[in-house]
Amino acid sequence: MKTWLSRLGAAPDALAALMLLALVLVTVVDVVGRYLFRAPIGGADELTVYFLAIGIYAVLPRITLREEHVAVDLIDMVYPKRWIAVRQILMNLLAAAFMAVATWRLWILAMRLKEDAEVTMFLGLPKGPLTLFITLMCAIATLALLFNVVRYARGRGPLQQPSARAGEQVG
Amino acid sequence: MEVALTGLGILLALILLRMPIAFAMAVVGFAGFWYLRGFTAAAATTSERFYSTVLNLELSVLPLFVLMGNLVARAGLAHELYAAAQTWLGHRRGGLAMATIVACGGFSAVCGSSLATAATMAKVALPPMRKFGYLDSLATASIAAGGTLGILIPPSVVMVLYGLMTETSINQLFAAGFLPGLVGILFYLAAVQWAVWRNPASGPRGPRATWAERLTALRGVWAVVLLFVLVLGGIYGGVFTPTEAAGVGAGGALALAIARRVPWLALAQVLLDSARTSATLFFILIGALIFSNFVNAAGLPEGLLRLIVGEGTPPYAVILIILMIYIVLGCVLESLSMILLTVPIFYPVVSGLNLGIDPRWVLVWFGIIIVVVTEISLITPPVGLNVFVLASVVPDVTTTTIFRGIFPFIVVDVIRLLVLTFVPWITLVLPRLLFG
Repeated sequence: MKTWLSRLGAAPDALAALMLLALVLVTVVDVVGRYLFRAPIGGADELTVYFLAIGIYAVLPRITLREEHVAVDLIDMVYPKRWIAVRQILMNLLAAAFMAVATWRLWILAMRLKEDAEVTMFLGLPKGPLTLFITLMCAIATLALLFNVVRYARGRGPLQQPSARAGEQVG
Repeated sequence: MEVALTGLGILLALILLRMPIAFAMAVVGFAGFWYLRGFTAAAATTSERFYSTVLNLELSVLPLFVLMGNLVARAGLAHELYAAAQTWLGHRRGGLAMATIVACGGFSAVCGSSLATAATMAKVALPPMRKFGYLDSLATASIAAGGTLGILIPPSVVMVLYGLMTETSINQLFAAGFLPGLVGILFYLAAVQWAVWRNPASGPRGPRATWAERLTALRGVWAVVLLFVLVLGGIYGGVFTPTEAAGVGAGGALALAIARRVPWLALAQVLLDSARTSATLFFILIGALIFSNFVNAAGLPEGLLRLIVGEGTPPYAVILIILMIYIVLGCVLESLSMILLTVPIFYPVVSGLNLGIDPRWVLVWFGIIIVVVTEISLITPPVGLNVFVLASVVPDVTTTTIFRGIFPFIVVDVIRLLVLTFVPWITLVLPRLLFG
């Protein structure tokens, strides 16, 4: 059961890594084709955008669950310890409420795109399923925020030490 | 304008209460828009951002440049850069610290992130400096400061974000960052000189290399040069769009990493890390776009501009005030969030000022100024992220030690900022030449 669950948890990571690799390959092949053989990939731009969207949203639930979004820990030193849980519960609830609204509107958008059977111009990629995927990932991220609310309410700490935040690799 | 300022206050409160910056900006932006235009409009425009931001072709440069930087760091190109710089400068007093600065500059030319540059160079440059008896304060400070060049010398993740928010050409920004980057290297070299003049024991002389050794070492950096020429040559020559350049850069870095036998598992990890980093960036960007929707609807930039013009404030005084705000904010906020938070408010104001710069180039110039201010924020206490990165890579050095050595670098940074502010020519000559 546990290995099955952890494998399912690793699937989005693998998907994101693959999408990034695909993004590199499609751009390189397109450039080489365009400038060396005067034969660019038709619709490379559409593929790029799809890879990008899937890759970015695939990791949203996990970075939300593990609280890897970039945050400022400036007043942590002076902030009273016993109020941390209250603060985290309120902040996660607020974020969850917002994400719930966004998810609901994305769902409406996805349904409309599906009904109209909208597709991209060149390759005819359907827009509905992609939006549905984004909606699904936002829904799971909302649940992850609520899960964090429950965890803090039970007096547990964060899943991961804040110092290892992914966002700090940037800048 | 009162509504916007209230929103800004709430936003800062939420950020200090440790709400992730992406969510804080999105929540306040959404609530503010709701207050101004009603719930339906707010919900529609907000959710639309979640969809349209990732379906933007231009934005694919972001993960590609992040990946390129991470691959280059993993492939060990920094070693050759440092070895080459060391043979040319190592025999001087403070020469190894100078070599560090130059190697950081070279690494910045293939890496768009300051933190990655600092983290990579720390592993490469610190051991030799310690071996030759450099004081930790000078050694670590030169790495932390040199690392900040990562976002100024193109490619640069920060410039990409600035370009997207202000609809400024990324190619022009990349051309504009080049000379200020070289100026930055020179100023940092002067800072090292100053540090060893104050305390000659902090940076003793290393051995002198022969000319043959120098030329051999120089040949070792071919991979960096090739990658740089491929990516930025393509951009400067007007051949590549930013997306194409980023794709070729990431592809080239991937080929290099494979050729240098980086294990497959490590490559997969680099891909995953880059995807995660890019995702956190994207959600901050989505939050920032939602927030800027609200700020614009509330008329904050126009209000500010009217206020400034009405008061008759000289344009360059306005710029100086903005820079002061950045330096203060930079002491407490993480650099990227600071840019995404403030740029939507300031850029309409700056483009409305009469600075005597061609209106087509004002935002390019302002972008470079903002990047330089951000560089300063990366090394100023208490929240100097480059310093923290260094302290985490080198566990036996405290942040206090690093901050002690960083003073000369901050001084030359402020001078450089003023020079670039009042002499826009340095920034704009190259982009004008290439794209004018």
